[in-house]
Amino acid sequence: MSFSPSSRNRDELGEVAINLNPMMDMFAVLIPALLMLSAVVEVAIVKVSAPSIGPSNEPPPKEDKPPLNLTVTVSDAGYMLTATGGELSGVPRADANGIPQPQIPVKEQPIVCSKYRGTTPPPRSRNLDRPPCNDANARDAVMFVTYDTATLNQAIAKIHQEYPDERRIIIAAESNVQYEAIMDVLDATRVSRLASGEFETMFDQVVLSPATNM
Amino acid sequence: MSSFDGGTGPGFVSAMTEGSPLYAGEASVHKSNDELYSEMRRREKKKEKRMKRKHAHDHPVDVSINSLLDILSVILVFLMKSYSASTINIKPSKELQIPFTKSIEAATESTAVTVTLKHILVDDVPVMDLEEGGKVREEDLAEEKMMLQPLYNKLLDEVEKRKKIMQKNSSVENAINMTLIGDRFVPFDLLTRVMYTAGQAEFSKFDFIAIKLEGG
Repeated sequence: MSFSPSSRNRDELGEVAINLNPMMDMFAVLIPALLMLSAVVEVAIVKVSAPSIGPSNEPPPKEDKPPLNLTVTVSDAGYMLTATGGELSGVPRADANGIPQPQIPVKEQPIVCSKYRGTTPPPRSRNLDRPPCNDANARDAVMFVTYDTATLNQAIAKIHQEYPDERRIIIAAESNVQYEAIMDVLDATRVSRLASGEFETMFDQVVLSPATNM
Repeated sequence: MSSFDGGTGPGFVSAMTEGSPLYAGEASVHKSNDELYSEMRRREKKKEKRMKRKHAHDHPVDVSINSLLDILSVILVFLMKSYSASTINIKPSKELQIPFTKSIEAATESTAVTVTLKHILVDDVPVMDLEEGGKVREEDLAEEKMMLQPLYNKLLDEVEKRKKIMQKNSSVENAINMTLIGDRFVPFDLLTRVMYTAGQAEFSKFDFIAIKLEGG
């Protein structure tokens, strides 16, 4: 005897419980892995042009407006500012008595140790006799002989006011000057903070000159 | 004196008679049906509670993890997206301590050259070893003393690849960029040699990577 459709036995699927264990395992592994791989430190870039050696491919400048050719030379003694295309008022000549001298010499000043854990601030050759920054004094201001980047920034800002159209700056340094000191110079010459709190771009076209030995 | 033994033996005394422990006075004999019914319900509820307590551990508790899965899915998608968006992977170590900058410009995709005091790497592949203090070995210098031969050879390959990409994809920027990731102690001499070598290999723009200082 055949049953009516409504009373036939059917394999009725009951509620299927999905096994979520593998999915949870995947989450438990992937999320900590991605969290560890994700960038903890944010990086930024500073655009620089290659050092030019030999004759330049650029067209010769117009005679009525020669380029300033502002050059900042970095040594262990400090910063020297020169310009072949103009006078830098307020900045003493670098060759007093015929000997090149940095107009912005290094000076002893308090430096917050947080950026220099395990080492000293540049120029490191001037701080060999001082203990390096460590975790204990990371938040403290410790006296070190360092570059006067604040004065450099002010001097560059004054030059920028006199030559507002100039954006090119040449950075030269002695061969043993470290990359960190160059980065500080790039920061000090690229932007300045106005009284209103805004940032003004100064010399953002940077050219690195080959190493010199003063 | 008698005691209730629940049986029907000689010691059995009806609960409804005086002397029985269950005897609650004359009033219990004359309880109404409603009262008896509610008393019976109370006893049943107590029994149910006892049974529940006894068998509570026998039944698995269903925990709804729908919300948890929703949150984990969103977090996973977000992390995968942010991980894949990063073009520059920097792995700071004792050999590679990157300096700080106040710049806020973001890094772009380009050939990454890492310079430490011991090695020079191109896209995380070691190309050159250096002597103590970041000095270049004599055999690695080209005839032109500013140029680093092994680095130049590797960068030429990168430039060729880049040019092929630019031929196929016109939306790719024409200038060939290089990102320089340098250790803070690298001497300026080595830095300019690397840049000069890259310039000879037709790299026209350089981006120096540094850690962004908070507060600008």
